[in-house]
Amino acid sequence: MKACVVGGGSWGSAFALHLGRIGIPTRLWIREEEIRLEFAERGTNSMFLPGFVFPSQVEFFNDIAAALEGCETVFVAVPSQYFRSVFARMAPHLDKAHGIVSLTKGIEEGTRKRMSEIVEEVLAPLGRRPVAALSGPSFAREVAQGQATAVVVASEDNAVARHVQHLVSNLNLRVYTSPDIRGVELAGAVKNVIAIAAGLADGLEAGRNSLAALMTRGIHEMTRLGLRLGARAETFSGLAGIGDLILTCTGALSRNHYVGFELGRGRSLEAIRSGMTMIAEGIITTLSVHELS
Amino acid sequence: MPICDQVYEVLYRGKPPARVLSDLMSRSLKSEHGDLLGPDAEE
Repeated sequence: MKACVVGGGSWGSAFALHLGRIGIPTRLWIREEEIRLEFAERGTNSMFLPGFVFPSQVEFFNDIAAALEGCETVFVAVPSQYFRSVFARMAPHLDKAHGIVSLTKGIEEGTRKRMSEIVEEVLAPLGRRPVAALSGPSFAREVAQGQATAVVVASEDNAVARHVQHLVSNLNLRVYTSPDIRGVELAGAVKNVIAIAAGLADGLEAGRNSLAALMTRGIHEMTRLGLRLGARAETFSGLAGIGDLILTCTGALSRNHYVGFELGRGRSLEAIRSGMTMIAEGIITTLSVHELS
Repeated sequence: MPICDQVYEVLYRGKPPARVLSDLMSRSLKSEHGDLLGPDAEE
């Protein structure tokens, strides 16, 4: 069993590190040649996951065809606005043997599509296949550190969800299954918008009452939108919903909370973005949610 | 989507962050779960 992780940002890198540690030969596709060279020399990715040496089971690739060859399960962890273009590059090299799991938490700008919808759309000429989405409270750095983490993998095909569950679970990463991929993807995307609001409140030193109110009414908004779009209410009280919302609104490692916090402190969005190497998905998702609401 | 709308206003319309909480707090009063319970629920 080989796996491929497409996207060498912090989450993709941490997930590949996890897969390698549990003994799955893993190919990590990255766009940046300089990261591949660094990995070849030192076994590290100091730009997106500093401080960790990858196990020997992980290999870095720049060539997408070579990365996908012989891999049964493909985890896609690229930012939502690049998801379609990257996946379109992957598609010619995919066949029915490849299982696809989205690790991306976002909604495509313009089309307002979830990542699994993009997968289905791009792969439609090749025949429909089950897709899964993995989400939940999981800061990349803590997964890389081996801290106990629980996530949910959702697919309309329960056999697919269970396959991924058993493939990636270990004593550090506990994976639950769900049939509600729509809800899991929506929750994972919209919570980033609420996290920006929570960051705003923290930046304004609004206090703990305000934060609790924003989080509680935030999950209410997420649930209401989800129900309107065909998701299940219970998904929003689960790991992808309230679980990830708690983490993102209260954790110091959240990029989206950071954006809100800095805005609340008076910095401009342009200044904040220019100082970040990683993408805060909530900025783009805010546009999509505004169009959906 | 009042919270998401406020974030949109700050990010894309230049709304001062300091106005977000006061605008949220001055919205019309509602029941907590009314809008999840259907159109006949008490507002």
